Amino acid sequence: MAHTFSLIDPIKRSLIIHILILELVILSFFTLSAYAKVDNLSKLLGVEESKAHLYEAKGPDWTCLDGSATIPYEAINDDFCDCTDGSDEPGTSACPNSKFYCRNVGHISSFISSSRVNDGVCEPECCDGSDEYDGKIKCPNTCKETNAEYTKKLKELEKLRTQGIRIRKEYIEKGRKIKTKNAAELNRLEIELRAAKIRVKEREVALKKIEDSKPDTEQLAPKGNRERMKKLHERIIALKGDINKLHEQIDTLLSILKDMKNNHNQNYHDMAVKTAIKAYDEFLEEYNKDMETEDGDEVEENYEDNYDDIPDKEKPQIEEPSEPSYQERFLEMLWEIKDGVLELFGLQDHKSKRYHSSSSSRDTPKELSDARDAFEEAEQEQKDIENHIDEVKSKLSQDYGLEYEFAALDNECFSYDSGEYTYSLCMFGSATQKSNKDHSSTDLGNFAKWIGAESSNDPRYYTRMLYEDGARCWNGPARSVKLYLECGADNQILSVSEPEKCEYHMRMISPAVCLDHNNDHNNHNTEHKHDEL
Amino acid sequence: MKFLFGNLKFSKASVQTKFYLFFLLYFIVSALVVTAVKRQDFKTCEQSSFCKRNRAYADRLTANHSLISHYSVIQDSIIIKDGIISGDLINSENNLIFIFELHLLEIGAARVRINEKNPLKPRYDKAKDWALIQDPSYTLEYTLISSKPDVTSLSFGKERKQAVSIYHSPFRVEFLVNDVPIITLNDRGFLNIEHLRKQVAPGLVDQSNGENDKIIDDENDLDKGLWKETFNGKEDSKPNGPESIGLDISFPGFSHVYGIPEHASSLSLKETRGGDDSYSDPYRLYNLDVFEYEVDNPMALYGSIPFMMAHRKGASAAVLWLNAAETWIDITKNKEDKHRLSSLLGFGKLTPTSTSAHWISESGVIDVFAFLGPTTSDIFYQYGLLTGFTALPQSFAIAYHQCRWNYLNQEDVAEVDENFDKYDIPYDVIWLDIEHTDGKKYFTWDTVKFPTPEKMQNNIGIKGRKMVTIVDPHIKIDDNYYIYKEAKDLDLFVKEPDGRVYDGCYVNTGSSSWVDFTNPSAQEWLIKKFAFDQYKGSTEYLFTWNDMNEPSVFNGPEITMPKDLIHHGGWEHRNLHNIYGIAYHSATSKGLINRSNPPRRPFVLSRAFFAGSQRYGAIWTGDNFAKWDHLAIATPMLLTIGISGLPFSGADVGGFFGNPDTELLVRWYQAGAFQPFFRAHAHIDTKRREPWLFGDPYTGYIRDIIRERYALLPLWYTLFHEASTTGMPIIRPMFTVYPEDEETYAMDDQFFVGNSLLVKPIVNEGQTSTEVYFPGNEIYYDYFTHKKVHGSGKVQIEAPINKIPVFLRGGSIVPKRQRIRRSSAAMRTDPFTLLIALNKYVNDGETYDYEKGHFIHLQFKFSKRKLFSKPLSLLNNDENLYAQSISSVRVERIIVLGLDLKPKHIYADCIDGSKIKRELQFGLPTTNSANVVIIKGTDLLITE
Repeated sequence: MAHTFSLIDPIKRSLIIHILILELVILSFFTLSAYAKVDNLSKLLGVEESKAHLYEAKGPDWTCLDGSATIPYEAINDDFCDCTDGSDEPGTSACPNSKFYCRNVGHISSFISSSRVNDGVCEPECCDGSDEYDGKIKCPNTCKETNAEYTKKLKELEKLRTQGIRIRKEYIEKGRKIKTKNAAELNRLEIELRAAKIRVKEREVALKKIEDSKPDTEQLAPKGNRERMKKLHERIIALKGDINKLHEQIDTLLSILKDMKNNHNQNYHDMAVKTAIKAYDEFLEEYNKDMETEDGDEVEENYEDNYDDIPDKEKPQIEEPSEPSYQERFLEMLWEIKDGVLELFGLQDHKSKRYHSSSSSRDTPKELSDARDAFEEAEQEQKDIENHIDEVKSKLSQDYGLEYEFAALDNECFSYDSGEYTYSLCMFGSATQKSNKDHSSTDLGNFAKWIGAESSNDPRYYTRMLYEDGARCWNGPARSVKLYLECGADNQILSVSEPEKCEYHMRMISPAVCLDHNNDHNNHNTEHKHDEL
Repeated sequence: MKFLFGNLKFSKASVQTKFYLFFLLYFIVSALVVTAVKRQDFKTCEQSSFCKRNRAYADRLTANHSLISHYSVIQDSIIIKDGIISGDLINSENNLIFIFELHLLEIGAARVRINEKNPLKPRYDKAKDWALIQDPSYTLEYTLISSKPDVTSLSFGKERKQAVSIYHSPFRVEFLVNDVPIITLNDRGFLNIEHLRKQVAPGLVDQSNGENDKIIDDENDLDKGLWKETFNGKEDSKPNGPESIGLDISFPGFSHVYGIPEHASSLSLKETRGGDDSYSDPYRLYNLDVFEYEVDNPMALYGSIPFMMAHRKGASAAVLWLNAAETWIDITKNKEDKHRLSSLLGFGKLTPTSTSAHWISESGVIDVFAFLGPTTSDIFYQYGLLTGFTALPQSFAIAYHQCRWNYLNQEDVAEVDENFDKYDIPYDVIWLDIEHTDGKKYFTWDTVKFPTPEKMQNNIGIKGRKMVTIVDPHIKIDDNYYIYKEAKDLDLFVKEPDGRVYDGCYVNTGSSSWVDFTNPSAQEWLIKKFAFDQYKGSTEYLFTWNDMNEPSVFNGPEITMPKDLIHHGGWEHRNLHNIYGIAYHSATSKGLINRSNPPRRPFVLSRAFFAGSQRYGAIWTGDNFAKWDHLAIATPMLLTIGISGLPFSGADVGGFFGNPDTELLVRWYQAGAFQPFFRAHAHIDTKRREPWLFGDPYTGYIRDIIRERYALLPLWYTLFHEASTTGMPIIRPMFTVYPEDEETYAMDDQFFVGNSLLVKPIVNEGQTSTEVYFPGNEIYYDYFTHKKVHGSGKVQIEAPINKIPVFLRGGSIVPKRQRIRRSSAAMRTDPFTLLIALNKYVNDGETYDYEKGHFIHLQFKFSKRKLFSKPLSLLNNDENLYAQSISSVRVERIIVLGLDLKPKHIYADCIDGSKIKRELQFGLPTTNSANVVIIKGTDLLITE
């Protein structure tokens, strides 16, 4: 204790601040192996062959390649950075911006950043081991093995790529056919549509003609339909029963949630629980308001007493609420049924109102009903054709890639079993996650767009797909999938990960992205090859 | 069917209502975010019965000026022997006898201990076993000045400059330096020791120990909670009844006090009993896991160091209140000084401002250390000698750490690792949070996600990098889990009062038990668990992170253990709560040391801490928030922790909760690069935020500042060495560097790294310039541009988004390494660059004398236009293996700022006397910048 105590005084003196004192401590626990200082490095160390002539001695001085300074020739590779472009230190780590050239005889030569020279790590890019020469570590020359492995792998890859390219060509061909077929289909449908429109017009005119020739008759519902009406009424009663049942279930759920709210452990800091409770409170507030204005009995009485007495003008203009509550959805359903009932008897719908008098009349002439049927049939036909056209148009406007190669995969589905979940993804369709335990399924989103690059002219544009607007996460965003496509001889999802909550990444191989190098103007794929080394 | 229409109409309306509701909710939620912490989860003083009682005790004395302390020294009981002054005290209220001891210590401090003379049973007194490196030795360097009936005075220390006076009635202890009082105990008479007693029925007279106690009145508010108290529906059984201790410790003449971490509060502590900008509650020390903590608040956080320092012109003093129970500290500043007993009784002089702290602990004995300075560095050293100095970490530990809850699997780890290389951003350590385990069973791996952990670690290890995995103290109850099974079989768990093993809850594991690390067998057991053959899948590249060691117990009162749980030796948890964390940290740290032979330096990050935690590793400020105010508060928090003996600390870069925008993240990296522990971390619900995800220019800004950290690693390492031998903080409050400049006393938004770099982090959104205070009559240089700063005092400084204001103080030499590689290990043999910033005045210096060892310790001195290098360690000693191993490492470059004339020649003098002419490379001197001279030194070996 006394020994260390004596240190107090020097410490005090260290506060004399006008003295320039630095203490530098270098400590290490690393393996204490001495290594040799490297003197007189070759001036050509780290220089690629094509630039060797720039490093020849042409006198006592040497000028940096960028002309920034003239230095003694001896200062090349002296482990001190003299040139702003780093050209005086091709073989050392002195200049942060220089590159070291690994000859890699027997394999492909390469450049590494100067910061990797003598850093104690054998760079895989320098199979000749030339990047570590200060004795800290011995890097064996593995170029022979590396090259053999590389060549083998390259061959395999080339084989797959060749296959992929061939299949892609088939896809393109198939795509072209699909495109042509769709275009022809569209053409055909448009002709059909024109015909259908004419037909509708004709039949409408015919119908009007018959209607105009008949006087108005009574507006009573046919008595013979009483029976059907009774059935529908029963159906309504049954639905009301369902509503009551659902009410009970809601009550049960509410009581579960209430228990959770009251009894959960606040100390768990579970964001999911917090969010759920917040959502529950919000729901409850609205739910209670809804319930105040609702009376179950009223449904029955009102309905039973008045179902056919509703004046049409009282029918509300229903505006779709952004998020219909369960009640609203049920009421909507009831409305549909009611509409069905009413329409059936010609009591409603201004379209039918115009001729309900005659249609509901028992003695409607066959002529009239036939004309009406014919008109309605023509109208339906037109609608069908229009729908079909929309469908074909949307297919035609879908972005199926550079050469329409992805059309062949449209709606093809692929799956991947991760152990806990099975993921499946349908091209241009939807992605889902299915639990392998309870088979519950979660929507991960639908195809939205290509996101491989900024511009669709960039071939990488068609290597990444975004699927979005899947089921919303608790306390998180809607689930989405980024699909990364790589060249392969078949279509297969290789891996699925969730790097951050609710954002899934899938890696997939597909021939559709196998581009032919020879025809490829962009050097992306050649770079890619380097990455694979 | 009318109802249908009505209902539908309503639905339509409700859409609108919902809209409004949404906005309303939005505002409520926004407002709530500000106070996200669940205050109701944590006690106020009012809700903690002993705090309330002691505050009321203080109020009684304060309100009635004629009241003085009930405690006085019993006549003739004082004995002075071998550096110990001891005596008996009597409490005039109940006639109970207490024993006090005053130890004069060799380290330039004194210790005061007060305990019951005949307690019903022993009071807890083991906090010292965890906080102190050993029982401090007594000094024999003292002289009795006076021994009168009313006062006993001694001077001590070699020069007898320190003195202590014990006033007898009322009992009061005053410490003086150069005859000026700097610390006074019981000046305000708040000394209060609730004696241990037997429980009596309400309404009866408590006659334990035969004294005259007042009648226990169940209706009396203050008597509630004596034998049982309930908080948030959780009952504390309190079988020992009241046993609190309280004492006021005043710093006469000091208007600023610091310390008592951990609080999200200012460096200079605020008043808590009225006054401007004061808190209503005392500062609380009770290690707690506080979710989304609030800034500018005296609430307890994850760690506790009951150390308080006071500073004024010409004097510094400090105290350590050595107690591990729940502790509250009320702070008052008194301008009139009317409550001081000394002024009431006519002693001493009135001082302009005095600061007084009322320390209140739930149990234990009074054990106070008084550090008498006189300078802050003396105090850091004295405190370090007592509680230990920072363990010198391995170099990777002070480099950059990349963490996230959670890196998903080995592929994810490999990808993150590769991306750092790809984007040319150095990093040293990648961290795995709880998801790496098999069902949150620590010491295990999720074998699907991490099938080959050794391979994974080796892959990063060969690049000079490391990995850290989390190991938490809650142990999942599962007989198939070997850790649980062993701990159960060895009977190591914390117990319920009835003897059953405590079964608490941790959200991710469900039912858990907690090992009692205060049990020596548990320490021994845990240490073994880190052996490579025990912790399967661990390698020499793997280090450890201790989280949740407050302990955090999700279903416990205040999210921690019930106080009536039983630890080793039958001690209740309430006695030792604040040392649970250090006990765990200590065992983990020792486990890592012992796993290799020869032992290697460990790295263990802990969230909980106590006095002495610096011996075991680093700490961080817990679960902060990605908000600007959390970035801002990190500076005062870390400065406070640093001056409390624990300099190795950091705050999660980016903020743990929430998603920082790019500006906040860049600013946070800039601040973090100048904090001792530099780690980015993020909650599982947040977006990914690895540096390359933001695109340029932001990724570039982050890359630049991380690289700057690596360039400065030699400086950081040197500062860690200094901390490990002298106790000096690594980042230093302004007042510790400029102790005479009163402007700096409350300054906590700028600080020094060592004594050479002045740093002011930008902590406001959109801010691009800031006012920096340049103290002293010294020259400062912009660290990045090397330009001289014009003016002194407050100067407006530009701080665009890519720049953190950092200044090099004239008169300093900063060692750097300018070759940035992918990890600190890859840079270990790289040459150094010395950055020399000249001041106007250049003097000769004096040298240090240090221990010798396997390291290189050089002192560089620039004087009379010469740079001297003096080895402080033996360089050419065959024993110094490290010096041999880096014998070819050299100084490649010396940059001199502020030379008025360009030198013509530069010479290097070598040990052998030969003179070598050096080449010169001149920087371009401009009118605004300091003259910059760069000296190329291609063969100046560091060991020459």
